[in-house]
Amino acid sequence: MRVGDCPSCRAPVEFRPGAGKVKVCDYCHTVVLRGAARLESLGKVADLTDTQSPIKVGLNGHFSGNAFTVVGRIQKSHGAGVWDEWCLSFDDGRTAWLSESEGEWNLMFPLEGIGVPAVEQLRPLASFQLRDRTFVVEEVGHADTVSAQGQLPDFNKQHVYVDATGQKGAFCSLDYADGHGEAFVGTRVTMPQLGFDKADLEPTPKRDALAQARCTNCNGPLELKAPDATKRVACPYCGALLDASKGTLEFLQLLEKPPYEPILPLGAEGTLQKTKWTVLAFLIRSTTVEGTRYPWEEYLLWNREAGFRWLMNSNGHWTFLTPIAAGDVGLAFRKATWNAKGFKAYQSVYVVTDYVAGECYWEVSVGETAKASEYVEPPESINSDETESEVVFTHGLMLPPDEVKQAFQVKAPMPVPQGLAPAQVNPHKAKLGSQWGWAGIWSLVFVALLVVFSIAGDTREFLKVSFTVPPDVKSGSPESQQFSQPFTIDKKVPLAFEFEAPGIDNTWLAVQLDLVNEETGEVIQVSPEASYYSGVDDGERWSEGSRSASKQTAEVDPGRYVLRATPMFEATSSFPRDYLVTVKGDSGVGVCCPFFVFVLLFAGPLFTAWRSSTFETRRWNDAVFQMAPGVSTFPFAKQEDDE
Amino acid sequence: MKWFGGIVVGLWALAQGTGLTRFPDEDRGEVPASVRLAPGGILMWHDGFMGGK
Repeated sequence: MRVGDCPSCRAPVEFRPGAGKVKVCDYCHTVVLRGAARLESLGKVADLTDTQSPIKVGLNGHFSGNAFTVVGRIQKSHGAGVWDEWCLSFDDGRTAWLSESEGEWNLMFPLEGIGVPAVEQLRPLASFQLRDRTFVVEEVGHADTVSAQGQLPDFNKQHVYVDATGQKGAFCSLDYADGHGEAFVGTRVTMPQLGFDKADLEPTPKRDALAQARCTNCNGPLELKAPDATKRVACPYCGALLDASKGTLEFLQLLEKPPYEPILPLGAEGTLQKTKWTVLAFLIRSTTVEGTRYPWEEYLLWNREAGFRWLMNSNGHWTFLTPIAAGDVGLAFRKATWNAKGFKAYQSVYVVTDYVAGECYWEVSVGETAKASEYVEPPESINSDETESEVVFTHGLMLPPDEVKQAFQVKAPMPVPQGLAPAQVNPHKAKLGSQWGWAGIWSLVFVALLVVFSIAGDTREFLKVSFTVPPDVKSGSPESQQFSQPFTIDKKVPLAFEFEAPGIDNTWLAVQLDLVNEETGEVIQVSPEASYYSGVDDGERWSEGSRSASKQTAEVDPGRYVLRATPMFEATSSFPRDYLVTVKGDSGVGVCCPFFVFVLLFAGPLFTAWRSSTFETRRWNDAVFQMAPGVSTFPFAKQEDDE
Repeated sequence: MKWFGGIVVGLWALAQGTGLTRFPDEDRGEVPASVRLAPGGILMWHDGFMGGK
């Protein structure tokens, strides 16, 4: 332990070996730099602000099997609040920084010997690489070191900081001070992971007192649920917005009265997604598109172990929102990926906070604006809230209103959902897969049956005979009649008569076919007719009709048969006089019935596909992208004329 | 669709098996016995018949 005298007050200053060359005098708060030859003063810092942190300088812990000591602390401020960063000195010689953000702890180690991207290039959503790892900027800000304690690696008054996240929980903070930047990389950690002895952690009496605080404006009881994390409190009785970042409540502004009572009252508790949540705050936010204001409600939920979540009510549609790291979200042109799932860009609008009640973990103010983007893959969504200095990503999951009602035991009727929500599940699309599947299965069964019936059917040819109309005979006269040779049908079978008159053109030829059973005298008569017309009109060739025709019969008894053919034709026409008649079994499957069976099988899925498409058209008609407030485009909207 | 498809295919199979899918369009009757039994038999039959319609 190296000991020297404070250049200011001459009090002894002790330096722990390997723990940094700057020490803050415990007596006069002078920042002392350990130079090569002597101790130098870097000026004084203010008294520490009581941030109610449970950690204190001197605590011992261990992380991943390595012991450390909390050797120093700096307090930074960006004007709206003070936060702590703790300097840890590990026994293996490493130095690390521990900071708290929105109730979560980040442990970061300095990256030595690497280039840090220029701060001018970094803004929210920008990405950069450090040692082959990609990080996405979530926040860029300015901060001043207002106070410090203990031993530190260095000391700078003014900082520009960039907080970024990478994949799988990686966290990066870039610190720019005194003309150069440093990079710190680490992960989110929990207090148990840091191995502190619980008995050593400082109680937070003022925070406990804050839990039973009263509004400084109206003296109404506030009973804060999350005093450790709360930075703003909006009194539900008088609408006063209070600052809670310093451990006491300070009046900031008087908000307007709420336009209506929130569906979920402040302080209400309910279990959603297997976690018990407390409603901390109620916000009304809105966007204005084409001169129309579209408001929605947001409820801030809190659980001591799980942290913060959001529950959003937009037109009666409820969405549960979980914060996610920007580094885990992949953004491309009008699409996003997260957790190996793709999301399609739905909207990007400028939103304003219209009203707030309850306690918030950030320095909320009415009238603050942000650019909100939403990417959907129903029932999930990826949402971003972007300001000039910060971007926050959340993963949304739509919930049925009844689930919210039951979770928070809401007695009043829930608002009936109006219109379509961006991430609303297409109910027709959900059914479509099953319907196509079953239509396919039954089609296969049907095809199999067609094959069976075709194989089992009798389509043998019993007679094929060519006739020629005798010359100079009258249509349908006994002289025109001709008989076939006798032939045998050996089993009971339905018959098909096929008639072809290949030579006819611009005329018709019919034939009365009488199938006569020689033994019984039974006559089975069919009358196929062929007619074929063609020509050229206005230089275009046309034709209609057919040179062939067919007829079916019911089952015919086995026996010996003769076919009599009586041709009928136009008296005035002359045409090639040959025609062909074929008689064959017809117990196979035809074409007509199977066609209608297929139509019936696929009618359901086709109808559902049409309804699904209509649903998606309605959904995407509302998609809007604002390049600037009040400048809207609707890239997917269909015009009335399109319909 | 699960049951509807089965009903459609089942009804078709029933209709196919019983011949209900056919649409016969013949007329039936008999050659007069006087013609059938006369010399030349059926081959001398030149009239129509009155059955069917």
